[in-house]
Amino acid sequence: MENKKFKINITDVALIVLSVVYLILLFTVFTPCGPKDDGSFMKCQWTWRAVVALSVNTVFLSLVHLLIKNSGVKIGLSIAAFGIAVTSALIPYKIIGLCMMDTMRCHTHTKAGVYVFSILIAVFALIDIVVGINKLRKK
Amino acid sequence: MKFEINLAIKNITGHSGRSIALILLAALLSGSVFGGSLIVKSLKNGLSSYEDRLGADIIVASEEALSDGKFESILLQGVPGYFYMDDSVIEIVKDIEGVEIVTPQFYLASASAGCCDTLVQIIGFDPEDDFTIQPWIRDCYGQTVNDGDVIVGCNINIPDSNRYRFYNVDCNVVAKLDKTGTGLDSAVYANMNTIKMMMENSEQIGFGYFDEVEPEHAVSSLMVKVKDGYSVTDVQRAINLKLTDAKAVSSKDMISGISEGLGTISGIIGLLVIVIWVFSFTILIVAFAMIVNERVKELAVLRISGASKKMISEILISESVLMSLIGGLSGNALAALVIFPFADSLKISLNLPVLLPGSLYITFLFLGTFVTSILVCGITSALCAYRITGKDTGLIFRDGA
Repeated sequence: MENKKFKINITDVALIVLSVVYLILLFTVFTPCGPKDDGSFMKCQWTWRAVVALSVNTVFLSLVHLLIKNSGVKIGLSIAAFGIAVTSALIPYKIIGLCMMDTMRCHTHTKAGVYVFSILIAVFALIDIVVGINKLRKK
Repeated sequence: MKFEINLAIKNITGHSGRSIALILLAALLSGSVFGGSLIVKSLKNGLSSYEDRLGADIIVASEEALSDGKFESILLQGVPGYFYMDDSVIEIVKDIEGVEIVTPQFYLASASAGCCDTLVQIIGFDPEDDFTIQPWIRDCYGQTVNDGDVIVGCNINIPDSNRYRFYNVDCNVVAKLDKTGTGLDSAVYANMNTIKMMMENSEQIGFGYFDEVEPEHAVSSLMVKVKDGYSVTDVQRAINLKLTDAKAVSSKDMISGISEGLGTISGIIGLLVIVIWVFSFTILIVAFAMIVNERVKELAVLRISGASKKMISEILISESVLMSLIGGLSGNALAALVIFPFADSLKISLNLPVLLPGSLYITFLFLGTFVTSILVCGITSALCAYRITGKDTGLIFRDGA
């Protein structure tokens, strides 16, 4: 029988804390530029919405990762979290893009925050994958 | 040596709580110095770049623009703005003794509306006698800036079409300037004819930028170069005596305010780094001493099992070097991860020019602080190892310490 003992690892806590803080900051600090004078939105608004949708998924994955015991499933969830983090970082960079000037709010706040949190989540997910695979090998 | 390293790795993973605390301390030690030094260097780079980009000895602008900080906002933060005075000041300044060259500049803020692609500062210059903008345009664009051509600052992203529209004037983006760390990175540069076209259109659309000045006779500022052998202060005074609505300021005066701000911030950061270092270093010494004291019996068992004093020292030093290696690397990586993406936010919040140093400097700083952190941890553990290996093993078991 495997995974009899329920143990919370550092990566479990790191992933859930980072993803929840990230989601909160997306709505408070890492918000995009406001609408133009004519009321229309610039493309950073769509980038922000896509990133928010992905970060909600990351919170859900991290929560399941925290509660689940099976090492194999945990690795699978971490792989998914890693993929989502990389996609999240690529959205402002290439997939959708941001506004025209690097000094605009979407560059100074949204992009910077997305990069920092996406990289941190990706790093912890990667550590979890490596540690999880090692554990499985030992078993 | 392989055995000592293996044992050190097992000790680190076996006591995860203790190891994490020491790794965090090493991360703080290395990351704070790396991050602090990088910010101070970026601020210094920003100031020297700002000095270079001003280019003129004296700047003449309307009193309102200089006293309200509009002019400084454009140069430092790239906040789009506009202010005008009558171009008759050009001839007045030209006639003053000691003045070598006078070149006008024209500032126009684009609108965040249908006529323009985005809100941006547009700076117009006269290609015939400009000596402030053209030298650095030449670094990236060797040809003449024709009518309808624009050159964009480093912070402005060029669209796939290579065209921008300002006040219904379609402009062709011909080059992008190198980063300066100042507000000028967020500006668009065009010759006077292009600017005049935009001005005319802005008047027709209904933007009332030119309340008191005739649009065809408007200039925003004058850049003045003083002849060799003349004092900048004397020429500045002479200009101020002749002008009524405009004011002349020397570049040195403009920079001195920023320089003071930079000195204060650099001092605070430097002090914080020193305080963090002293605290971390002290805590590391105390922590290592306490850990070694706790492990005195474990180490004595190793001695009885045949481990030499050298081997025990190597195990302790390997442990601390490995932990500082992980801590130093993660501390520096985290500092870099925060500073690089947030450099522009830092510039805006400090209201100071910020220009990150080159990759070579960053690499050396990264490696330097990383190696220093490893050395500090290595030396601290070596001192503890020297103290503990000097004790008699028999006494340790008999006295319990």
